Amino acid sequence: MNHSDYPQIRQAGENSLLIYLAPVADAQVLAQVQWLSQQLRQQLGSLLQEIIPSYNSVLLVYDFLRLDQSQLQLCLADLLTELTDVALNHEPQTAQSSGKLIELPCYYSIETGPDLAAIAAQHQLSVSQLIKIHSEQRYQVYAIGFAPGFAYLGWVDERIATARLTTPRLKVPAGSVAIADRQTAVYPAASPGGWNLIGNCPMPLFDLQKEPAMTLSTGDAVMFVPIERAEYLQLGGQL
Amino acid sequence: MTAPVATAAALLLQKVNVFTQLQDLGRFGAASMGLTQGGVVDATSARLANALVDNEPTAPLLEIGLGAVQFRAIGSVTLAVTGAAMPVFLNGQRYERYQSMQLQHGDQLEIGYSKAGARCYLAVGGGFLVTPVLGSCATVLREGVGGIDGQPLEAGTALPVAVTTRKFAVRSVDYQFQLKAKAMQNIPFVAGAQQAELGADTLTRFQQNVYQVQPMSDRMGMRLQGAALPVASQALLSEGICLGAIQLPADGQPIVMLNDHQTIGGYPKIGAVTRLGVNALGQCRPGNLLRFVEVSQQTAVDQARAHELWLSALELQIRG
Repeated sequence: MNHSDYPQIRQAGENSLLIYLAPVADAQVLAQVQWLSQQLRQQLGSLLQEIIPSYNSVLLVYDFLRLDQSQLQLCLADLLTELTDVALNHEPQTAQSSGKLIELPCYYSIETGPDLAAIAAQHQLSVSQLIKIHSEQRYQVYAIGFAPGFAYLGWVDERIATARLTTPRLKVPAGSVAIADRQTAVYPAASPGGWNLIGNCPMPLFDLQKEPAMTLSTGDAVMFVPIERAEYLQLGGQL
Repeated sequence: MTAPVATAAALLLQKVNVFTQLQDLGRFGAASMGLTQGGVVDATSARLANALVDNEPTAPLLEIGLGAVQFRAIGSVTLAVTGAAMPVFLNGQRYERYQSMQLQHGDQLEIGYSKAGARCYLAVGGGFLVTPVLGSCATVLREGVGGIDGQPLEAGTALPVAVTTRKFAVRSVDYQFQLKAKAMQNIPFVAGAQQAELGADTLTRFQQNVYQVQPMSDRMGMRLQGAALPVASQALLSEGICLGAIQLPADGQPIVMLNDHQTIGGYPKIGAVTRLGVNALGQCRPGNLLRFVEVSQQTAVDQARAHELWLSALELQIRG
């Protein structure tokens, strides 16, 4: 886990490379991940088949019928040299990636968050203390995956970090706000899931009819704003 | 549902199952939103089906797993079936795969269970008329995206066929170029990702093992069973997954990520099966045996480019 060994480029598949920017994920690394992804999108254009930024890495899949990996390596070498400057511009203490800040309304309650009381008790907190801790933290989107529009948000305050359920639920309602270890997320659609449910966000986060389909992108910042039951229902929240 | 558009014809689904799906070559550029690529698993067979009815390689067609499906033509429909050795019957008469046929209104097409291979491809002249989602018609049931409202196809649905002015022509693929599914396959892969952490021993043993395809396999991942491999215990931050990635979970039994794979994950990976290898896996059934053979990245590229040249020449020749 030596930072000087990074960045690392590794072969992922015949037409795909994984670029690791650091051994850990923090806001500074996230800014680099975001910057590198944008640069690759711009520079490779249609030669880039897919790009998946995540935590401390970027996976890129390219059109290997039209692009040689040796050319790609040259392009990457240049970008990774510039990356050091991106890092210098983001002091770890104050680091915030250049993404937008999105405020998500959340109705924290037993009726929308069946694990709320249990988690509070487990951490010897009152329910309102837990809500305060969860909603005062500024999270960043470290990765998107698992399901369309599912954003992994980090990091949850250690005081409320909670291990996943031993037995995942067969159905977690759409909009559920949940915690797993030091991560939190909103389930964009109903699905099975093993995270601890603490509330519900009535704002749809993924809608293919909209452009863009997704509200959040990797690198964005998110804060949860506690709302009352009436407002939740008014915003279209389901009980 | 697709907006009603003037169509020349349609294919009425009389008997279908969840293994029959509208697909194309896949959805690209949406993985950063968590959407998988989807698309036909055996792209070679799918492209030949489209060539036989003079469609673009990207035209939507049906991928049929398992078999035991039945259709009826509404209007006149040009059609071809390629891929797995599923018996095809036109109005009860045996019809050979790998050739174009003209169905008249009311004609019935039946496809039986596969004798060898896992998926066949059914293309119609003009292509199925489906509204693309993010640039592709590929159905991904887990995501509820693509095909017809992201839902499984149902008996009683008439799939509209796009209008085409092309005249029917008899086209076929020479026997030597048709798919011959084998019960034992050598699958090429490129070593990568966590290869170093897993150790050279894992890579060697992975190639010495003979694997059997497990019944739990689906379009998301092919599950394999062989002598368990040692797994280095390491917490891995979730990272992007590419098509063909060979994940090694704690039980030491590899899972190869196929077209509907999740976009990110935290299992260590031995490497990734090449696109040509994925084509071959697309025709492997539970019980079939596999061996994995490492190729260099450059060899994989050379093989893929040679295959592309061969396939595009064959497509041209089929179209005539």
